[in-house]
Parts: sequence; C-alpha cells; structure tokens
Amino acid sequence: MDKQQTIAFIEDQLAAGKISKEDIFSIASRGAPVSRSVMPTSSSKNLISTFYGIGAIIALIGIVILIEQNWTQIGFGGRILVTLGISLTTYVAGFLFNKDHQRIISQIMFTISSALAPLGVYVLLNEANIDFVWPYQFYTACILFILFGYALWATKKNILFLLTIGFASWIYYSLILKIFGSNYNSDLLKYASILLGLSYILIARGYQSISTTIDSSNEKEKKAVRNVLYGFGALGVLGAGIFVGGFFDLIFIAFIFGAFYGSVYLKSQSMLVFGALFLMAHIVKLTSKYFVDSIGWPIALIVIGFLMIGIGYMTYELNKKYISNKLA
Amino acid sequence: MKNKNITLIIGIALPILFITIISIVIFTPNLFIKPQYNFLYSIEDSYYSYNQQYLNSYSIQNGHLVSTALPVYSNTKIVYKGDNPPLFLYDVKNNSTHQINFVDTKNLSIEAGPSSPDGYIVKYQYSNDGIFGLLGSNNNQNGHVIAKGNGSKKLDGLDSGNYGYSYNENFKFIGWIK
Repeated sequence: MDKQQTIAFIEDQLAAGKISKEDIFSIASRGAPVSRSVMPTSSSKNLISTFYGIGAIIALIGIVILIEQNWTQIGFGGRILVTLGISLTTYVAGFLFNKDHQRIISQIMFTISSALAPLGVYVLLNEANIDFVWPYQFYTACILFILFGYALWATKKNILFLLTIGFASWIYYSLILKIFGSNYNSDLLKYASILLGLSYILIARGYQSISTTIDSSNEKEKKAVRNVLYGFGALGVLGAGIFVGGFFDLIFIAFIFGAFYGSVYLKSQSMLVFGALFLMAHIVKLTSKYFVDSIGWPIALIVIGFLMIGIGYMTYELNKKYISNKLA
Repeated sequence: MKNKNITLIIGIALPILFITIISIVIFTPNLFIKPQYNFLYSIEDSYYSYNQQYLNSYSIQNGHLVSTALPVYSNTKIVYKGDNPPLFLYDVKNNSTHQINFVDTKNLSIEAGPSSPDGYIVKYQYSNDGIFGLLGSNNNQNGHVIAKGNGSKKLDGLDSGNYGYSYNENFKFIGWIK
C-alpha cells in the first residue's frame, strides 16, 4: 500500500465514521512532540480551565461577601444554605460530572465544595454557640479528609489529591497544637512545618507511581499537582527553617542548596524559585546579624545587591539549562 | 516503581511518626505524676476587686496555719468582705477540692513550700493560641496544674469554681499538708 492508497483508505474510514479526527491526532502525537496543528485545542482547553477557575474564585468571594454583609438578614437557614448547602451540592456535582470531557468542571466543583465545607461547619457551630476550636476543628478536618479521600478513591481526580493532603495537614497541625498544648514551644512548631514540607516533597515524588494513565491532559494535571506539592514542600522546609536561628542558620545553608539540587533533580521550577528567594533572604539575615557592625550598612547593601543579581542570574541559567528544557 | 511507592509511604509516614514520637515524649512524664501531699489554698482578692478586701489573710507559722491581720488603709475607703477569705483543701489523690473551716486546720502540720516534700509544685500553665488563633487552639486548656520535672497534671475544680474564679490572681497557695 503506497502513500496515496493509505491516505485514501484513511479518508474512507473517516467518511464511514469508523475513526475520528481525534483518533488520527492521537496517533500522530504519540511518542512525538505535539504538532502545531493541535495547539489550538490545547490552548482553548487552557482558556476554558482559566474561565472555570476565575468563575469558581468569583463565586466563592460572592458567597463570603453575601454571608458577611447579610449575616443577620439571611438568617441561619440562608447561611447554611449558601455554605453547607452549596458545598454538598457541588460535592455531588463533582461525582455527576463523570465524563472525560467534564473532568475540569468536576474538579472545580470539588474545589468549591472543599472551600465552603469548613465555612459551613463554622456557621453551624456558631448557631449552637460553640467556638470553632479543638476538638471541633479536628473532627471537621477528619470528616472532610474522609469525604474527599473517598472522592479521590472513587473518581481519581487529581485536584482531590491536593485537597485530601490539605485536610490531612489540618489534622496534623490541630493534633500538634493539641499535643504541644501547655508545653508550647514555637521551635517545635517550626520543626513540625519543616517535616511536613519534606513530607510533601516525598509524597509528590511518590505520586508519580500512582499514575497509570496514558492520557496526556491527565498527565499534565498530575505534573501540576506534583509541582504544587514541591512548591509548598520547599516553602514549608525553607519558610519554617529560616526562623529557627542559632546553629540552624548554618544547617539552613545546606537546606537552600538542597532545594537547588532538588529543583534540578525533580524538575521543579517552584522549588527553584523558593530556593532562590530564601537564599536572598538568608544572605540579608546573616549580613544584618553578623557583618553590619563591622562593615556598615552601605557596604553591606552594595554586597547584598550584587549577590542578589548573581542569584537571579544563576536561577535563570539553572532553569534554562536543567529544568525548562527538560519539561518541554 | 517500587522505589517511588516507598517515597510515598515515607512521605505519609513521617508526620504520623513525628506526632507519635512527640506524644510519647510529652505525655509519658505525665503518667508518673502521682503526688502524695494534699494542699491548702484560699481565694483572695483579685486584681479586679478594687477597694474590696478581707480583714485577714493566711500564713504559716511554726508549721501551722495562722490568720494574720492585713494593714488598714486610712485614706482609702475599703469595703470589707469578711474576716477571712474562703479556705480550701485540695485532695490530690481524688483530684477534688472542698471548702474547710479555719478551726479544722488547727491539728494539721503544714509546709509552706512552694515545693511539696515529694518535689511537686502548683502553678498556672498557659496553653498556646495556635497559629493566628486557628488550627485547633483552645484557651480553655489554661489552668492550674501540679507539676514535677517535665510532667504535669491539671487540677480540676480550681479554675471554674462557685466563686467565679477565673483569674489566677485570686488563687493563693498556702501550703502542703504533711
């Protein structure tokens, strides 16, 4: 079968409806970079996702303003309806939008549900004159963790992985604060945050193993989820670590370079950005703490300024050479 | 694939392990809090009961409780609430408290402390407010405890009594009953 015959055969199959244009695009893009002809589909998908995301944020802001401005006018029924009611409805809708092309809207529904559920519990407890503190926050976090964990198990939607980890983190902090209680030590809370950050990075790394699909858009979502976790992980480790102080200031330098190495190894731009930002912050902190008295602020500022430029350039080069090229 | 599963498992296990370890470190000393000596305390004037006071207060002299007269201020109008502030005995074994009369303490041998003969102290302990008051904090955890080393045990009935006792300024520890 020569080229003309093959094309004629494919055209026949297309006309007969046995195969679709999408099938041909799918075959053409397998194992090769996405061609320019499919880009419009991808960009329009991104546009739709952006609209969905903006819509969800606007709706959530609207609900918060509605409750805040009309707290007494809408009464308990109204407050519950716009919080727990919408949360429950969107949770169910997340399950109902189960077609492949409805994946994004389903995830938006779950996100709205997760944001409104704690607000709804607060409204409910407020009506019963109960403060939203321990143990009610702990119970709420546990129930939401189970509900969204179940949704993750049942629908395999990627956003649910982030939401479930979010509720698990809430459980973690509420337990830590309860256990610390009167033995409160803010350093312990910092170490707890460093550990949680490390845990996010490991979970993100392991999340790849859950991936069983060859669907490219699903794979893209998984990558985004991993990148968010890498980012929050780096933020947790570095953000808490910079406030420990003392001898940890030395160890923290190793943490920063660990973040640079990790960003290249894990192909994570968010980790690279946080590594660079915290390196700058640490230089400012160390300079103001140890060198300002001997060299004075003007010279310190000149040195810091040039170091910032150097870090910015190094970050750009690292990203160009080892991360963005590999992501493409 | 197996390697990545391990990282996922370690990632999930780390916070659980951390919580387990700090629970053991923090709660284990509390299991060994077994005080032997009861103590006396009184509810005196709080910082907020301005221009109100009792005529007498309590102190320990030669191992016994005595009532001592408080100074009288001539240039301030004081409203006297009574002769002596209410006196209480805290039973550490049953974790209960009850009011007693001053005359009932005549035969008691009392040590002023602040530490008990077996090394315990009574102190007010604050809990934290969480992160910006979020994430499971609770001020109701504040209160008096009996403590030794790293361990402590909350003293029930001290911080929500019939006397409307809610500020630790009211509480006056008197001494340990030997």
